[in-house]
Amino acid sequence: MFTILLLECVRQFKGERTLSAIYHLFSGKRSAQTLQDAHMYSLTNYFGILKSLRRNVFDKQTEILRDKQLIVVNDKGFPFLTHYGTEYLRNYLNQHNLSSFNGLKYERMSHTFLLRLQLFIQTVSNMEKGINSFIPITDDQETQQWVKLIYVRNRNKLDSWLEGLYKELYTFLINLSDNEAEIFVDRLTGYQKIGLSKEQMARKFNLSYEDVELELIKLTHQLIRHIGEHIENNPFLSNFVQIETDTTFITNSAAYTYQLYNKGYGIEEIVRIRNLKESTIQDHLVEIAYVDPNFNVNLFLSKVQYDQILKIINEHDTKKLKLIKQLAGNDVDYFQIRLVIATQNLPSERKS
Amino acid sequence: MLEQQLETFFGHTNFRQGQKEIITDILSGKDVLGILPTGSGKSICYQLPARILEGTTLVISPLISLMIDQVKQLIASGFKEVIAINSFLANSDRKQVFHDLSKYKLIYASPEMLQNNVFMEKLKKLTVSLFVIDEAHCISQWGHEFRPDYLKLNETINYLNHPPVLALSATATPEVQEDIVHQLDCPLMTRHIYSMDRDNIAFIVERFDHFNQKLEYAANLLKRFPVPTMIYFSSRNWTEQAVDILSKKLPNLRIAFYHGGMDQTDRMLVQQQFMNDQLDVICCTSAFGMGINKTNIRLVIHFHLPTQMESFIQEVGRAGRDGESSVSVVLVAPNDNQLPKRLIETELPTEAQSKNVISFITEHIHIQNNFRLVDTEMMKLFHLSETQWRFLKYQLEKHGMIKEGRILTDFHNPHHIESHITTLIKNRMQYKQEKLGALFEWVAGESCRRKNLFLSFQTDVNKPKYMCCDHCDFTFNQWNPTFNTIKNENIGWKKQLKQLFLQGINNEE
Repeated sequence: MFTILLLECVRQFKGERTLSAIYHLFSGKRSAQTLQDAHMYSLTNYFGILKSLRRNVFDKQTEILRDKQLIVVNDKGFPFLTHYGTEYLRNYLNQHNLSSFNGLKYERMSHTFLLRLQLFIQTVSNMEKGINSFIPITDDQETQQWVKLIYVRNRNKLDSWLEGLYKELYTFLINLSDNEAEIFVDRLTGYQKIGLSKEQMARKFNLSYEDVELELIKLTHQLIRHIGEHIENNPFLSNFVQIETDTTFITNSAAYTYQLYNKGYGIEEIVRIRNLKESTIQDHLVEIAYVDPNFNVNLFLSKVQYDQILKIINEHDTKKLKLIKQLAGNDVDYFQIRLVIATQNLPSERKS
Repeated sequence: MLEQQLETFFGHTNFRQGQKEIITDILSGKDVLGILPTGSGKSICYQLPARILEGTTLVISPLISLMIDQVKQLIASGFKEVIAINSFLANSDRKQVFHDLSKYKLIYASPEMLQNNVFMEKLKKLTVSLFVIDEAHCISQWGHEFRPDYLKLNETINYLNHPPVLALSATATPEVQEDIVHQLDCPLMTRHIYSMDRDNIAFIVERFDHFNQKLEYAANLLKRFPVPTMIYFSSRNWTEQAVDILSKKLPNLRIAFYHGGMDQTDRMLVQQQFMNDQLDVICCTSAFGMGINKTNIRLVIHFHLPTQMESFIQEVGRAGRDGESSVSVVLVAPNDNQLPKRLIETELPTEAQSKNVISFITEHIHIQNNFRLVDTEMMKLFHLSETQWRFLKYQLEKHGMIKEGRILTDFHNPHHIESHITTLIKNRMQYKQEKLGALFEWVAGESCRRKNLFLSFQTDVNKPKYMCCDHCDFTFNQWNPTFNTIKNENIGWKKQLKQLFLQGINNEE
């Protein structure tokens, strides 16, 4: 799956970004550049899905793609799919439910969600057997406190929690492939059943270490989405999901700019208040434009300018700022082009 | 009385050899040196007093992973007033812990923490009622894991107004024992020395023409005796390869590797699986085993040998803690001593490295003010490992060149210091090579392995409870180890999920 994901990102980036951009995307670097890249090239689903990925592992993997001639990298460091790479991707893409990833939306909460769920299962399954000494699967203090709280509150109805969680998880897992369900269950720890390590699963399922990690994250994203879509059928599981607000999807700095913007300040005023460069504030606004459906671009460019830029983007099938600027002439600036790119896809995305 | 407390706090009904004697002496305020074999429950000797005594018990331990494991186990068992303080503790957590230090009954600390002034001042405000030095052999230059920071322990003990001292070790020759008493400056120490050999472990050595044959042999042995087993390797890479090969040869056994390069969670899971009899064979480096309290390990196989007898004895000591018949098997092939030889060379700095570091310090002597030698920077700058830098740093401090990371101005002729350190490195290197030589001599020995192995530690050995060694009486034909029959069946996720959630409920019906 890691290979296919890499190829898919190379394809989407159209030779307009370096391999580093893909690395930052996977590792979830919260910089304006990475977030904008994710939006601009419709790769938000893969944002932060391999946070622990080390750079040398990533480099080794892309090296393999080159050796296998699935990709070529030009002298500027931009990767392209080869003909063979395109074929390969087309053949294997459908085998991996990549659309189950929901990186940008879940990357922060999925880790907490899974830890809470796993620690709770471990705790309750042991306590039911009268075992109150076991080594917790995570040292994370916040998770331990959270589980303790839930446990204490529900001490008298652990049976119904166990049964409830079992039924809800079963319903979710039965709709997956057997392999996927097995990966999920193998990782769980409880009474006299210690979960498998990622290395062990890699061996058992004949996957790479990164693939195991990706599978687990994909399953977690799927589960969170499943719970969200069937809240009424998942009264137990839904306790483990933490609701996050939209503002967490942007950088903190952009969020502050957003507050000021919402209060009605203009760019020049925000520049003065925040003591930042104009270009930085523009970065923030572009970032906001990607996520806020109510963002009003008309404040920054006219309808004529908007349509002109959109036409160039569509006709030339490009998101290269320099090229668009050349074609559009001096009537528009880079900021305006970026705003158009940011908002052009929004109507369709909003529906989903 | 003591037995009652042992049962209340730890659930054991009887003390093991030496424990009661040591604890009684501690509680009457004596300084104690305790030498007990690996796996005999050394930690009870201070964990029980920690629960009984008023005030705080401080344990100095050089093995961070061990202290973390012990703290986890203690907390899991219900003793919550326990903390491990070491460099892994995040700064924000550390602040909190220092602030609440008085609420802990048992504090584990790594030796370098004793150089932390804030920590020491906080400690002084508490009543330290017992000062424990775990792995006390580290205090001796002639011990196998010499730690320069241990030499400052006597200062710390004095600073804390000399609370009762308990020094513990599982591997200390009489020479090292003397050194411990001397270095700690506790001449009145009561000594409780027990023989280090365990009577239920037999020793055998198998020779091969080529190292390739070792795994073949191990696989056949495990086919015949599918018992809980540890196999020691000297590199991470080897543990992984061995799992690949053995898993193919032994599809019915559950085999995993363990080494220091794995992520925290995976390490913990593998360790727990092994404890839980969910794994049969573990291929590991020396990073595994400390803090492991699995009682039914029947076989300890050394695919690679460590660098001296002390480590070997410690690793073998993980077998048969339940007293049942267990076996140590050493696999040797020609040139097996080359790897540990090279390992030893990397433990000490080279002549060139120490020369460069000394020149660096001499050159920077006048850049005063805020210039500090930062450990990580020095290690990078001169390609030094942590052990190498620790060694050099201690020597430079001893010769008055540096203090607390700052360069001093009034040291004597740096060339003298340099030649002194170079000679020392040479001597220590030779000493270490001799220790390695002794281990390989033992391997080559033609008489009783038990006697030969423990000769330098004690005058006599225990009478073996089962078989002794391959030179005396051991044959695998007569070995009938007790073990549970192992099932390695894949029951599928549905059944697993059901067992995980519903077994408790179903049983009550």
